[in-house]
Amino acid sequence: MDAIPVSSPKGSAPADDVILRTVGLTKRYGQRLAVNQLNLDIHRGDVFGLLGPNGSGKTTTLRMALGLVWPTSGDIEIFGGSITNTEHHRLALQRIGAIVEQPAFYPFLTGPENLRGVATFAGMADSAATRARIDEVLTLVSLAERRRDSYKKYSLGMKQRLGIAAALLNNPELVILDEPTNGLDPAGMVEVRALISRLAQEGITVLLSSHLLHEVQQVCTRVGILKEGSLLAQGEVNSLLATEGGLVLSFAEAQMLPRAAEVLHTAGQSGSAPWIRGVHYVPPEPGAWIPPGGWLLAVDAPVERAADANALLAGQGIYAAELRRREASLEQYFLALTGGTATATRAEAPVSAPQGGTK
Amino acid sequence: MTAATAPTATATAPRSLGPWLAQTLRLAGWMLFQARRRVMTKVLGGILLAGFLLLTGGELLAYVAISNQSPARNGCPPAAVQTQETESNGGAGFTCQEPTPEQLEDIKRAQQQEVNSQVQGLTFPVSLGRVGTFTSFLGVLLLCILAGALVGGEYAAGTVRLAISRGVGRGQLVAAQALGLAALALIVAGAMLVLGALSGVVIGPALGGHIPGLPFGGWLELGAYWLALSLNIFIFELVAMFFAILGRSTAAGIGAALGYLVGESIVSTIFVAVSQGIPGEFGQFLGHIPEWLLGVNSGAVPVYVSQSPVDLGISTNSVLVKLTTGHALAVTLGYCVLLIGLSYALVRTRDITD
Repeated sequence: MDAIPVSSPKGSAPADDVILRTVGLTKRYGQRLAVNQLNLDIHRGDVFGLLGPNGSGKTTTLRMALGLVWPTSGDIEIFGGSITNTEHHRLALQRIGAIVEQPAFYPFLTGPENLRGVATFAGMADSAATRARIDEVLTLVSLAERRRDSYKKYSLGMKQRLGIAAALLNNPELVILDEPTNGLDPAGMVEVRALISRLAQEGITVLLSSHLLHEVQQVCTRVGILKEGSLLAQGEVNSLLATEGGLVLSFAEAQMLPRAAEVLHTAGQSGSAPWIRGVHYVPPEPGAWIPPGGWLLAVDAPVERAADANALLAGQGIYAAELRRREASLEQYFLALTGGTATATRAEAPVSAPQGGTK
Repeated sequence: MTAATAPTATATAPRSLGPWLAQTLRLAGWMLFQARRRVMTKVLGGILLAGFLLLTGGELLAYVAISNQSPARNGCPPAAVQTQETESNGGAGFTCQEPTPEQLEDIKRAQQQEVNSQVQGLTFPVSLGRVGTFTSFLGVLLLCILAGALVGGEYAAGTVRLAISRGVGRGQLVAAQALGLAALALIVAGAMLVLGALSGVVIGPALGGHIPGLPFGGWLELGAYWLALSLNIFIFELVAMFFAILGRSTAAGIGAALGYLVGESIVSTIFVAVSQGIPGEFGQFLGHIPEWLLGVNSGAVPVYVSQSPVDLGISTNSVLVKLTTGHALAVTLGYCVLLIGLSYALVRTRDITD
């Protein structure tokens, strides 16, 4: 699915496929607009990544979905019913597992005791089946060995694992995870990623907020990007990144860079090469070879046109030292969309080389 | 962590969507479980028990002291009586004289009455009144601390967020907290009365006290006394709960409740004292203010309940202003409704960001 316009309240999926939908969701704290007219659709089976810089409204949105924060206006529909229907929302929440920000537990109780409390909150019966389920999720997050320790003795990573265990305790249909890898070591992060993938394979919908864009790109099928409370884009990760693909050229001589940019730009503008959508300078990736002049030339064009682009340049006596497919990343897309540092490197006017590019 | 046994979507979760009340009772039970697992509960319980033992020990010491007291006064030898010296026999002082047999009999009778009174206080059922008065002071104080910690702790640890995000209704949360606190008050008041009863059937008779047979109404009175004591504890727990919710912290709950407990006692005493010095309607108005204060009324209920058909030995003079049982009970229950309502209004309308 392509990225949908911000103003579109509906996704392309049928209504009964949408497990969580926000409609014009707005939250205002005094003068500050935390969430502004947010329209999100989370489909059944999605691993949906909610992305955004600090203060963009991610956690506030999750809090509203979980009934912790009251929306100023707009609505949230979960499992087909509005949260304004208190009883529906209460029962819907019992089908959701969540961690919002840091996991919160009773410090003087052990892990199993805390999970017993979560089971009580979630309306699970105080039965042998519940106790067995508690043991199961503790094993799942590798905390069975520490079952006799009180929560206050747990490390940050163990606390996060207990939070994940609590989120999975009631076999939820929707799991909401706010920064689930916070405090985990690299191995723990990999395991959480594997766990999320496995949940998705088993049909459990996951709504995830994270700052770790690389992680999100690896596990999420769809993302929504927020900035200052507003939705900038949402859609399938592959579709969003397709717009970021293209070609990257580097040259052995610095003066060839602006010449190549001029040739390709003119060809794209004149219609002789309509498949060229744009040309701009980009810096090399960290650790990569730095060409003379310090810049690369990025061409927004289909990868299969690489030979045509090469031929265009060769016709003008310009030969690229390297021509390769540009690897699109969610990080680049995110930064470009939210006005991060990557955007600053994008030169909209390709005819003049960036500073240092003509050295 | 291993993802090998991730739950399946089709697994049947042990889920109960029972009635609201059943869930609320389970939440109240969870609160009691938490209370039992807190170190603070054990410490406060220990203090209350130690206080009871000190009280009982003090009463026993007093009994021993009174029993062994010599009738002599101001340095007179045993079995002597004091007479006022006159001008003629050397000055304004005391002198000792051998008592007459009648005087000696009077002295012994007075001493025996004192001993009997002390023994009666250590004998069931009057022992309950003694323990009840103690519980109305130290029990209330300690349970204010526990209630503030239990309710405020939910905000400090962030577990209020855990509960609500799992489907616990906001009204349900407040109702469960109030029910849990009520159960705690009943447990503590009951436990203290059981201790008082045990000491009353063991210590009192051992010292020669007599346990009277209680009429049916007497047993009902003891039940009502238990409820009245619990209500007196509960109302201050509710004060702690309200302030813990208002301030979203343990410190706010404990501090404000203890502050109110002490503050009301001082303010009501001042009102009564000042009203006696101011003649006219304004003075009367000031004197009536304590009749509507929370602690004055809640403290009066057990005192009035303990008067008949069995006198548990608590003087009605201990109540600052003259009230009726109905008035005290109605005002106390009114405050209960008000505090629970205000707590609910706060929880209902506020965003949970803790």
